[in-house]
Amino acid sequence: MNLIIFNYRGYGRSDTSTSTSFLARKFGFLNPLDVVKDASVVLEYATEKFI
Amino acid sequence: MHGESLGGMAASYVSRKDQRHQVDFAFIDRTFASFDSVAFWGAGISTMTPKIMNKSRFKSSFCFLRRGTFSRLLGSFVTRCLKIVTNWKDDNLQSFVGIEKSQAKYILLGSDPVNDNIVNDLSSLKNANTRHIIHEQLNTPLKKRSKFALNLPNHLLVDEDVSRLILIFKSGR
Repeated sequence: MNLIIFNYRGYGRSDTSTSTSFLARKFGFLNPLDVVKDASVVLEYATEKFI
Repeated sequence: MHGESLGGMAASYVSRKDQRHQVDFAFIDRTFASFDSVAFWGAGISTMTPKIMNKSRFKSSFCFLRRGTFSRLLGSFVTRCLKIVTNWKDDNLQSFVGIEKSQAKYILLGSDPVNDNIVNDLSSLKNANTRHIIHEQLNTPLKKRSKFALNLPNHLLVDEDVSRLILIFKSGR
């Protein structure tokens, strides 16, 4: 069984100070479209490596 | 597939998009319908809490407006400001509804209407999905569907309504 967990609450966040987006760099706001694109990449990686 | 909060958006998007692998079980936990709705109700609710559960105060005037009207105006203003500043286009509800059309066997939607201070119950995906189902059942035209609330007077359930409903269910009517 393969379980993928996307958790963005309460367990620490990645550093966004080097992001190219102004809102992410200055305020830590994450563009939801970037988040879902990252999730797609994660799934792709998990698929190739584990599934 | 399990996604919590903003991760719920990622999980529902990935579950809908990935057609190569069948998702057996998608658990979308305590997430929101869209950032717009979080801003709308987050700003609006601040003028109503905790009076939202009190029907008499809900109708009381506030700055020459009804409190509900004022909350909606404030929510709309903040939502527009957010759109201008960020230009983000996200719709978690669309992704969630899309999962049902994909191959997912089981979908579980979690919410915490009481203790969740980040995602308000009114802006949660659960609430948005309920509104979507109601619109679908009533065949409401797309143009008339509001993204944030049902276009009905006093559609928010308050304590009195819940008590009345419980009495009706108990009496079996």
